[in-house]
Order: sequence, then C-alpha cells, then structure tokens
Amino acid sequence: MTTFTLISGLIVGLAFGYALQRGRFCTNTGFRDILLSGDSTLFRAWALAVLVQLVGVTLLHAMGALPITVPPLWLGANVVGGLAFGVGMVLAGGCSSGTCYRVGEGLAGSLLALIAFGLGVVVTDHGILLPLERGLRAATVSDTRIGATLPEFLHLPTWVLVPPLALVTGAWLWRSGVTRYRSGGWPWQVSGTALGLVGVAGWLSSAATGRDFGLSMTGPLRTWFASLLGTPSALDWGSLLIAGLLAGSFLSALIHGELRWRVPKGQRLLQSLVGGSLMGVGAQVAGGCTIGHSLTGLSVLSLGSIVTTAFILFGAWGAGYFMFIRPMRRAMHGAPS
Amino acid sequence: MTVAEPQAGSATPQPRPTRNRPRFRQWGFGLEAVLAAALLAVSAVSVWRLNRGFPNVDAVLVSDVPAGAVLVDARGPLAYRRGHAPGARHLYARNLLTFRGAIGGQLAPHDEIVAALHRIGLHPHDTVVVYGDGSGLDAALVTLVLQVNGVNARVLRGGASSLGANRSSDVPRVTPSSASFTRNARLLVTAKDSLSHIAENAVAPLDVRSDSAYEKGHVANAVQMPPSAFWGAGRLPRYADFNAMLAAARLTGDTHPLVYSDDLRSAALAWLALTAYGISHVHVVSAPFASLEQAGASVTTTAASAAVSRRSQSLCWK
Repeated sequence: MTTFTLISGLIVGLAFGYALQRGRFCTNTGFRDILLSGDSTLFRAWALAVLVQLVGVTLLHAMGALPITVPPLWLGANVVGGLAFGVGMVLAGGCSSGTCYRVGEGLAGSLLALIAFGLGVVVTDHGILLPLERGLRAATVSDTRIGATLPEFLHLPTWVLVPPLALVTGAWLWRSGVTRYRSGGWPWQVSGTALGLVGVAGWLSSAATGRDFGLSMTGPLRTWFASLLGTPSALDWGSLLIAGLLAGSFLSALIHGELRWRVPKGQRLLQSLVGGSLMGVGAQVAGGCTIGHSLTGLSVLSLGSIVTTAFILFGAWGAGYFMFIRPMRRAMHGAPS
Repeated sequence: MTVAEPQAGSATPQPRPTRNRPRFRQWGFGLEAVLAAALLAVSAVSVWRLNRGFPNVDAVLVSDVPAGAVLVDARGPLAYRRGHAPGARHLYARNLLTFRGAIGGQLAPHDEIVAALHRIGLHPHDTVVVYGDGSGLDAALVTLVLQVNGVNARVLRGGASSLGANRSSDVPRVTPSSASFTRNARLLVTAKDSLSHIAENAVAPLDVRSDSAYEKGHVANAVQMPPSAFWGAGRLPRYADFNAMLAAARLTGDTHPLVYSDDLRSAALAWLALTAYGISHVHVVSAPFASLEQAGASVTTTAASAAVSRRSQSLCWK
C-alpha cells in the first residue's frame, strides 16, 4: 500500500464520517421520516449529494480526467439483495452510513449491527451463503444486451440525460427552504453539498490508486472482516476509507458534545444483530449498499444501482409498515376519540 | 456513562443530548477547514496522478527523430515501397520470426537476426527510431529485438502516419555492417528458461492473448491483459486506465512480468507499454504459448484475472 493510498483513503474517510455525523445522514431515517411524518429533510440532503456527485463525476469523466467503473446489472441479485438490505436496515435502525456514524457517536446497538453487517458480507462472499450469491448473480444482464447505465439503456448520450435530470432535481431542491434536521447538525444544503463533494473527491482519489470506484462500504468491510477472520486480503483505499469514516464521525461527535456510550435493551440488540446480518447478506448479494449503490452508483446512473436502491426502499417500506405504520394505525383506531 | 439507547430504530428522531455539550466545540470550525483543505489537496494530487503521462515513456517512445538517428521502417514491403521516411531502412518485423509447424511465429535464431541487422547496416552504438503502422505491433517487435541486441532503439509516436507527406520511395544505399551484437538473455527468454523462472516463482506470468484463448487454457497463475490494453489508436492507453488494469492484475513496479502470447508482436507491445509505465524487469517469452505447453508448462483453465479483462473492455478505449 502506497503512502498516497494510505493518506488519501484516510482523509476522504475522515471527511466522510464528519459530514455523515454532522448531517445525521441515514437513508433509513430519511425514508422513515417521509413515511411517518412527511419530513423530507434528510431525503433532500441525499438527493443533493447524488446531484453534486452526478454533475461532478460526469464533468470529470467527460473531460477525460476520471475513469469510472459502473456496477454491473445483476437483476435478480439487485432485487433480492436490495429487499434484504431494506428490511435489514429498518430492523437495525440505520443504513450503512447511519450505522457507521452512530458507531462513532457511541451507540452500542449500531456497533453490533456493523459487526453483524461485516459477518453477513463475509458469510455470503465466501461462506455458506455463497451459492445464494452465485445463483442470483448468474443471471447477469450483460452490458452488450442492455446498457449498464441509464444513458446506455435509453440509447442516449450522457450529456443529453444529465442536464435535464440535474435541472429538475435542482429546481425541486431550490424551492425547498433551508431547514435543519430535527436532531440538529448541518442544514440539508450543507450536508448534501459536503457529502457530494466528498463523493467526488472519493472517486478521484480512489481512481488514482487504481480502484476506479467512489465511496463504498461493502467491499472495504469485506476486506477488513475477511482479514480478521483469517483470510488475509490486501488493505486498499477502501479499507482506509472505513477506518477514516469511523474516526471522522467519532471526532465530530466528540467535538460537538454528542459522544455518549449508549447500550440498548436486549430486544434492540437482537434486532440490531438480525438487521445487521440481513444488511450484510443483502449488500453482498446486490454488490453494494446505500453508499455504494444509492450514493455512488446513482452518480454514474448505474442501472444496477437504480434497481437496488428502488428495492432497498421497497424493502424498507415493507418492514416500516409492519414495524411502525400498522402499529400506529392500530393504536389510533384503538384509542378513545 | 451508560444510558438506554434513545433513537436508533425508534420511530421519531430525538434531539441530540446537550448535557455534555461541548468541551471541544471551539475546534469544530478549525477541523472543518483542515478537512476541506486536505480534501482539496487530495483531489488535486489525484487529478495529477490520474492524468500524468507514462513515467518511463522516454525509454521506448520518441516524438521527434533525434539528429543522427537511423530510421527503420518495420512495415511490410508493399507499404515501404509505396512511401517511407526519407532515408529509412527497411526491417520487416515478420522477417524476424520463423514459423515452425503448429507452434506459430517465434523469434528467428540469433545468427539470422544479426544477419538482418547487418544487411541494413546497423551497429550496436546506433540510435534507432522505428516506425510501423497504427497497430504498433511491427514497430514494437523490431524495437524489442533491437534493444535485446544492445541497440538504443525507440518507437516513433504516431507511427507512419506521423510522417505526413514527407515520404520517399527511394531505397537508401546502405553499407552492410559486420558489427557484433550481444544478446540480452534476460529480456527475451526461451520457453525452457521461462519454465525455470516460473518454477522459482521469480516471475509473474502475464498472458496477453485474447480473452477466448486465455479461457481455453493458460499458464497456471497467469493473469491476462488483452492486446487492446497496451495500445490503441496508435498510442499508449491513458495512464489511469492502464494503472487500474495493472492494479487489478496486481502488477507493480517491483513485479517481474513474464509476458507470453500467440504472437510475439503482441508480447512486444506489452513489453513496450509495461516499460513505458515503469516496470523495468519485463521478460518476454520468445516463442508462442504453444511452445510453453510443449515444454511442459502447467496449463489451467481457471481464470486468475477476469476483472482485468472486464476493465479493459469497459475503460480502455471508451
């Protein structure tokens, strides 16, 4: 591992962790807020982060300054993996980004979910669930038959598709007011822009070490856990990204007085364990999580990432319905008027 | 302090605790500024690293013909007769190969090579610039052979097309030489020597044949990079793309790649690109893959580098 790999991975990870913690950035919480209270603050931050990356990465690639790798379209794996991840993140109480920054804040339940996530990834990558992954990925949709990206699929040049997409999303975001998330931290404009810029820096510095992909968590976690479990893997830029991410969110929580060791009750712990495992299995099967697909993959308009993100949200909606919406409705109907 | 977890997984997010707020808050802005500056610096260095040229490119490529250099045309006889650089001597790459049975083209015996160099009047101290067609294959092979024989030879960027209208059909008068050439046995190795190197784990086998040929069978543990990874549209690939492919193939500056192919010209092209990139210990097998099989190399169909091939398709010339 070169000095540049070490330093750049750590710096991008630190900035990523810091921005996640300050922005309270969690896909699960953002989606749940929309479902339960109609609050789209975190969702707007996520949309802005994707938009900034989309524009930045497209421009850099068009200028020939940045090589990119598009996640493949494994239709079956994207659907099943996305659903499993979506259900898992609701159970665990956070997606991969949310889980990571909460570990930095001292939440024991998130730490447990993160460990279960890593184990789920390893078990699926080269353990007993490997046949599941292979079976689902066997039906890879080749990029010669159907485009691996949305522009290829629609047979449109990227520059025809990206500006309208950016304009529509930008206009929607522009009309939204400056709002801070209920639990404090940065306004969504700041966190979205910061995360988008960190994402672009991630693409650049990762590519400069030969990795050719932006921010991600599933692959780097697999490397760490495989190494810890006795299958040494070469640590790369992504491995340092994870280390920096945890350190960055820890630093942010420490500086802003939000660091506290918190231990959940037994049932929550079990929920975190099961949810984290499901997230790990789902992310490994689908080839990425809410960071690799929903943040990074979407910025190159990868079809695999679009499908995975859609099914993550669908899975989260299903689990959210049974865990929150239905009990709320029952309580409302049962409550005296 | 240990308290019950308040918000993860609960339906509504809670405000952050404020009781221990915040001992280090005055550091917050400073840290944000430092992180932003560091991120900017990392991005700038990354852009530079991604788009720099091949570090050792001057060892194998030239843009202008130096004064006093001997020009060598490596193209076929017909192309040479139609028009070549004024004064360019003709050394057709394929005349440096012999074809025996099913094995395919392999490097001609040393005395035949030396005879060919004598015919065009070359000396070991000559500075030679070789040009070929856009594929780079012929020029790479001739340059490799010349360097193996101790001649300071490099390939002209852009090949014959860079000559423009400045062409001649006159065959230059050359006085044959009788100089002796010393062969560099480390750069160009026989199939038998290759097996010894592989057995000693002293080299990393690199298969530069097509994807389908590799899938049918290759030297055990060989990684594959298709010929298109090394040269396209008359030039080297982008540094970033090549760097990514080498990383996927786990080839670094310290690696000693042992390059083999079905066509020695493809192997020569790989040598050229790897050398330009800065991998200084490249070994080229002087005979095709079939000769390695015949010499008893362990052959397998287990892929060691599917990722490299995929990268080359998706990135290299897109």
